Amino acid sequence: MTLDRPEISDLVIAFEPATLERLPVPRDEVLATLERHGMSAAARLVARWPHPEGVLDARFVDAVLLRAHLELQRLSEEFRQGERMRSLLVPLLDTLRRERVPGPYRVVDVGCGLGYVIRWLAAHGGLGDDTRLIGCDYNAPFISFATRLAAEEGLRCEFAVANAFQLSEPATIFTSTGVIHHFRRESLDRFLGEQGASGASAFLHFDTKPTYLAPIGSWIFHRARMREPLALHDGVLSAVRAHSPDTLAAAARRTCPEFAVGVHDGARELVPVLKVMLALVGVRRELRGAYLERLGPLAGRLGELA
Amino acid sequence: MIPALLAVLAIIDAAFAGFRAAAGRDARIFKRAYYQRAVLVGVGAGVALVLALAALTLAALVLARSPSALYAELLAIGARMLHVFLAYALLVVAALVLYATARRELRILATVSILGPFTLLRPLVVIVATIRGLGGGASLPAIALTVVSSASVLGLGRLLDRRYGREPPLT
Ligand SMILES: C[S@@+](CC[C@H](N)C(=O)[O-])C[C@H]1O[C@@H](n2cnc3c(N)ncnc32)[C@H](O)[C@@H]1O
Repeated sequence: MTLDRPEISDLVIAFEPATLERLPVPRDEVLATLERHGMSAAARLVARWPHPEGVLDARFVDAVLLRAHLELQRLSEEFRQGERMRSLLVPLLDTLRRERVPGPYRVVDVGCGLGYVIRWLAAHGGLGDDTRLIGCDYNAPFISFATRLAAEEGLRCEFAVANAFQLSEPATIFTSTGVIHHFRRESLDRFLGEQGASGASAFLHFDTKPTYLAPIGSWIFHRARMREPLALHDGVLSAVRAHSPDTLAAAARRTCPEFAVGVHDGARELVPVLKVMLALVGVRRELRGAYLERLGPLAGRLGELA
Repeated sequence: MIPALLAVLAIIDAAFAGFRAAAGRDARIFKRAYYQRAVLVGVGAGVALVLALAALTLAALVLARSPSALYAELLAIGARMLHVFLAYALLVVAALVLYATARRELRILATVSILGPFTLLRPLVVIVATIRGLGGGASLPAIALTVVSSASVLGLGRLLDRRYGREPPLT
């Protein structure tokens, strides 16, 4: 039960699944959920937020989430999430080209937040003219912010308020950073299954690597870096909630039978201090050999791709 | 030498405080200029603080019954404090060098296990240095000057943080 403590950011915002229209969030329901999980500190935090007529003030919630994601981007910069994504993405795009998968290749970042990784790739990725970078999120203020930022810096990428799995132009590659631990059990299966069924060629999902040191390391680090209480709370909790490599690989193999699946940096280490992120990697079976070849020495960190 | 070292450390500390105050508030990709400005703001604030503390110390010396005795006492306190500060600074510099030069994984080790925790420890380090500085017993003016200096170094970080917190997130 403690393992499934929810993150505050998952509770305080809600969307109508079909239209992505923002739904009102009754404050007392959030407080009750937090109390039910024994999360009194989190409940006290949300209890202080404005709630006209018992509904959490959406603009206030947006401002908190925006500040939290600004701080999250700082962590992404320090953790070099863009570079990390590129290291697995470039060989993947090369594989598609060599195997004559028709382009242009649409890299769709699921739950892109402020779009840091997509914008970084647009700025530094050198991914080629046949590649389009698209960030998707349900949160409209994030997307308009990401769009403005990209325009301000002249970056070639797009952002959309959309369910990444229901785009009119489908994705070639799905990516994400720090998103999959938000999906638990059946919803993880649904998340992975939807992308498996979408016609995409591959996926790369990065997330915190769960090790015995991750919770304490994450606590110290977030304590030092985060000012926004929600960012501190959710950041620390997400290290606890991170899925194990086995859970991820098993779920992806179960739900994406047409894909060869592996976990990059999933290997257990005695003193787990160097590898703080892992990546769930999936490629269509017919691309497996070519991708392993293109990965070169990185293939050794992938474990089994099966 | 001792006052100069303390002043330089205080200004460097303020430069870092400027960086920290600016970090996590600007989502652009290219931010070298943004961070440079933040560091400069920190340096400026640090210089101003050092000048103010120097003026305060000067005033105390002028007013003291025996300026040379007070000055000698302040030097001794400063020397003891420097031991603590220099040890801290050395570790931070080592971690920064590692962060700047190492490959990605080691870099992250440097930031997670040293730079992060050391940011957290900073107030404690200043407090420990102050206690150590005053440990041998000190006169009232010396205690007052030391405590005010330490407190203002810590306060400066907060001030810079507040200042950046007031700016809206995008340009
Ligand atoms: C923790 S945030 C994103 C963090 C971001 N990747 C980063 O590294 O800064 C997760 C986001 O995923 C979004 N999301 C979840 N499922 C999605 C889907 N199927 N399509 C688009 N966005 C989705 C949510 O709206 C939420 O804002």
